[in-house]
Amino acid sequence: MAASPKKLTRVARGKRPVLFGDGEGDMFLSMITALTTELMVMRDRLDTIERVAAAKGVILKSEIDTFAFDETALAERDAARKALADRVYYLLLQQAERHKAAEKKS
Amino acid sequence: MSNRPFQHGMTPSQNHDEVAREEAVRVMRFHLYSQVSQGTRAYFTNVVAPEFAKAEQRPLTDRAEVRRVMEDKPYVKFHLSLQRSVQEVMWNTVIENIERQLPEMNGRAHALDRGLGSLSLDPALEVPRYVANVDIHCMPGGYGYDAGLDDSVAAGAIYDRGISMYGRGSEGFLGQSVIAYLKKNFPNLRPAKILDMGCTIGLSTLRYAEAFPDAELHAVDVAAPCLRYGHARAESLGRKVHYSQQNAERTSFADASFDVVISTILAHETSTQAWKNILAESHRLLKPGGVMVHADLPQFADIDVYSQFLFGNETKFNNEPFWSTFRAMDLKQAMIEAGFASDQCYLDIAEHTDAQQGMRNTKMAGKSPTGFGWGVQVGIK
Repeated sequence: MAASPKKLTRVARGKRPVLFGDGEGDMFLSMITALTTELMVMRDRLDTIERVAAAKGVILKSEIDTFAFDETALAERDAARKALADRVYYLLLQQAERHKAAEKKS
Repeated sequence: MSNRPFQHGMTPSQNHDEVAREEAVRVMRFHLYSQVSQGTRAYFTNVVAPEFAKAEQRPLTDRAEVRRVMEDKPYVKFHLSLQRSVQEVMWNTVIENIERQLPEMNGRAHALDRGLGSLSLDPALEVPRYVANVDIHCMPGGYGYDAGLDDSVAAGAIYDRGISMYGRGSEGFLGQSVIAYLKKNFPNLRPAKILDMGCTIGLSTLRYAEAFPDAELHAVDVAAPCLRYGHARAESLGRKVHYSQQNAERTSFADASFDVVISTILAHETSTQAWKNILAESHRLLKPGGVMVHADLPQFADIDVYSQFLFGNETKFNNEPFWSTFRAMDLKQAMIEAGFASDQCYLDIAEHTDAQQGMRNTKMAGKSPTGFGWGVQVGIK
């Protein structure tokens, strides 16, 4: 297995402005923002698949319904799901990173 | 992928979804700065300002007052909160892609160096606080970010992909405006030596290389990861630029070294004293008859009160601590104090180029023929 890459910081220094209440609303909106971009990515991917398949004269629908995934494929899909959750909940993860940094200081 | 815009030797590898994610963020940004933003302006113009005028029996003319009446309105809150989130998602998208290949990119930067231009780094340089202590544009880690790796291009790679999401053909767009301005207003200018101050990764710098192919081109910045990246990028594109890690407030170049001294969107990321120092350094470095052009966003005096409010938000929402102070600064007086004769320095507007059509959202108050543009500080020695 390849070594996992060095993590780069996702946190910009400086106070994050709060528009809604104690910031809960801002957090929800940040998730919706990330989720919307992910939906666009997914839509692009499906569109690409459909066009590639159609260009090769392949009808995909019946094959999709009966496809058997092997263990590697299942693991890859889980990793992709986790990566998506990381992106959508990025602000929570940022706060976790801030909390962790605060713990080191104290 | 074929739908990717401008590519060069330092372009990171991107799979289908990484390209799609960048495209999605680009569309989200465009949607925010067109649709959503227009809604806020219309709300101000058609609802909030008339209501204020009716209640107070006077028009709204002060940006602090605009802020007070606008900031608690739900639509405005959603607009500003969304602006921050889109900016963050943009950086997350970029960082996730760069993270998986940064060591390879660091190595690639070395390999691309074919000695066309040069790169001179100064590890002992004291990086000024206005760069070292702030993550401008909310870019995690800031301009000097190296991710703890040697010979790192981290910040440069992250910045480049971020800028690419401002719009297609956005690389060096500000430099294009400066070139158009110079060619229009100084048609006889044939510079032998040009200095680009605060060049970051040299997006505008390479535009100068294209526009003035006979000139010896120097570019300085304080951030080593950006310079390493910019140098490799220039080498891969066959552009000859001499990059050096220097503070534009005080460089090592001799007096009267340059025919043209330029910067683009550097000023508002410095400080009052630093900007005065940079103007004085520009004057020192110019040959007699040489031209200084520093381009930035327009001064508050040049934009309507709503735009003042909208852009003033950048200070708080996009980590631009000097933004509002700079835009209220007396720049003509600062140029005179820097050594320029009062009839040889002035403020002007450099028109946006076609590539910037999709990005603009500032309504100028009539000073520019097209209604849009960059504020330029011009001095002739």
